Amino acid sequence: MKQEAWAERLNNHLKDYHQEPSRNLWEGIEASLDKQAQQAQGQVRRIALRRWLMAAAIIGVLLGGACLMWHNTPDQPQLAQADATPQAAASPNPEKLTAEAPAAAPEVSTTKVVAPEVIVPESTETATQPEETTAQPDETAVKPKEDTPNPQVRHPQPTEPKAYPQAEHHQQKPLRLTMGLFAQGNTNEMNNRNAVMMNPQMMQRVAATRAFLIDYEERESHNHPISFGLTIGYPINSWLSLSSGLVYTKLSSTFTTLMPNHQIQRHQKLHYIGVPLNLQAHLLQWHDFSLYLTAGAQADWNIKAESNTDGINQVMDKDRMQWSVGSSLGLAYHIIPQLSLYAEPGVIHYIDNGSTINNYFKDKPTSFNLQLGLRFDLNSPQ
Amino acid sequence: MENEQQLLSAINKGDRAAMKQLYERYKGYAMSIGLRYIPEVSDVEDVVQDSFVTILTSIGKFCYRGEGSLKGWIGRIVANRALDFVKQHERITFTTAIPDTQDEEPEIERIPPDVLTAMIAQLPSGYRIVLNLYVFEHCSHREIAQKLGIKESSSSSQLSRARQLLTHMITDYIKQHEI
Repeated sequence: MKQEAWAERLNNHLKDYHQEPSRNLWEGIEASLDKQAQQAQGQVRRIALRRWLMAAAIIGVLLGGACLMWHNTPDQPQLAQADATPQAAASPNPEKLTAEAPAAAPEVSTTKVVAPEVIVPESTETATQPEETTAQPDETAVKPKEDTPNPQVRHPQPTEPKAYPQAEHHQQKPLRLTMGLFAQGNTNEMNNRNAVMMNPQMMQRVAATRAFLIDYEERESHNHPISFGLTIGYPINSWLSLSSGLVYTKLSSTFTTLMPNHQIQRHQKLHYIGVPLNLQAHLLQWHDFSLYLTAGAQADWNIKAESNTDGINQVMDKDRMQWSVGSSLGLAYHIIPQLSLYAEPGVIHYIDNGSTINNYFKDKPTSFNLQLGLRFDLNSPQ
Repeated sequence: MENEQQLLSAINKGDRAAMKQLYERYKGYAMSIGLRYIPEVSDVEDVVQDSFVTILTSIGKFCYRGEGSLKGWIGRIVANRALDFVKQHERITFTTAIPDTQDEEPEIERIPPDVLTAMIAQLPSGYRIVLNLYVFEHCSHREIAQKLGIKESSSSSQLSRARQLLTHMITDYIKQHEI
């Protein structure tokens, strides 16, 4: 006798069987409903508070980051100015130094400490003096005064890239410790679906299907993975750098079981935290653009697995650790020297982890992806 | 008596009497499902009680697809709750070996439903879960494998063994009771 026919008979025999509970369960149900209603009210308030705290934390991080970057910027012009003074601004300064230094410090022997102090007022004077002599209008005199608080920031920057040859500039870029924020998505067809029709031939071949259910069908739909990450890049030499960090990935799938007049839908959400390790080779530098190649591997751990059938959450086992290898070609645009915007189209291969959980990684083991992000240079150029 | 749609509509408005009516209508059905998974009646009652709390708090998410769909939804919730209970309270072992002999056709219809339900509940946990999922929840071996984290072939062999053991139990019962 076939297993399927036996299963059908067993199902039919117990289909209408009802067993009354030995005690009244309604009182307990009603008490639980009341308790849950009270808890739900409190939870709404807690969620609202948590959202405000999260928003405040994000704003704090952004402001902190901006503050760090702001404090980093004065260092660069100082270096640039030190380099620029003998080259570009060499001619006016010695004159002023010789003109003012004896007057300002006649008795003190000019030490290295004194010299910068003298330079600072000089720059203001150089801005004001010519205007007083050549052009009288006050408007022009005001402009340099406005610039005086940060002449170091504004003047050297445009001169720096012009003063340095391209080759030197090219070597500086990779030798920076970088921090990146990115979002990543796969670029295959919009939504991956597959359907398994349980036809009689398949049922004979695989003893895994239900023979007594005509038009039985199972469908799987896997949405593209969405990833967000934070990476740190460490330079190895002038053209190679190593990067690692933390990546959050979310996978969502829908499993539909179709039967005549009956349909069951299960939604699955898997949350992963991954650690990538990538080697980055810098290929080209052209003006503010740079081209590089990245290759590496990533280990992802399933931190949370959610399963929901027809609106009801179910217990679900977590997926095993997932390894993946990938390569990508990156193009970065330096918005300012400390910040670049990049795009990395690439290929990724997910290695089968042997688990029975079906997800995008198993359905599309090799896929194309696109990573978009921002990269911050954490230290000043050398 | 109100139909499923009318009952749903009233429950979604927060009508406690309608909620109780839903419980009264489906409590026996829910118990019969739980008893196939869990041998102890008091445990089944706890599971049914928790299931109805879940049903009544999640009923807003339920999508009505015609008369009988609400009953099917309730049945799946109870079955899932019962499965979770077995997973938490019993050590489940699965064998990959497929039985050599194919038993004769068991005379299922000669056994009273309550006795047959108790027989299923007495099966070893691995056999019992796979049999319930395959026969009553209409899951394929592929789905069972996914749910339980086992191979499809393992699910198939569990079912074969469950059937073999149940056939023995049925045969013994018929002999003992001379029916």
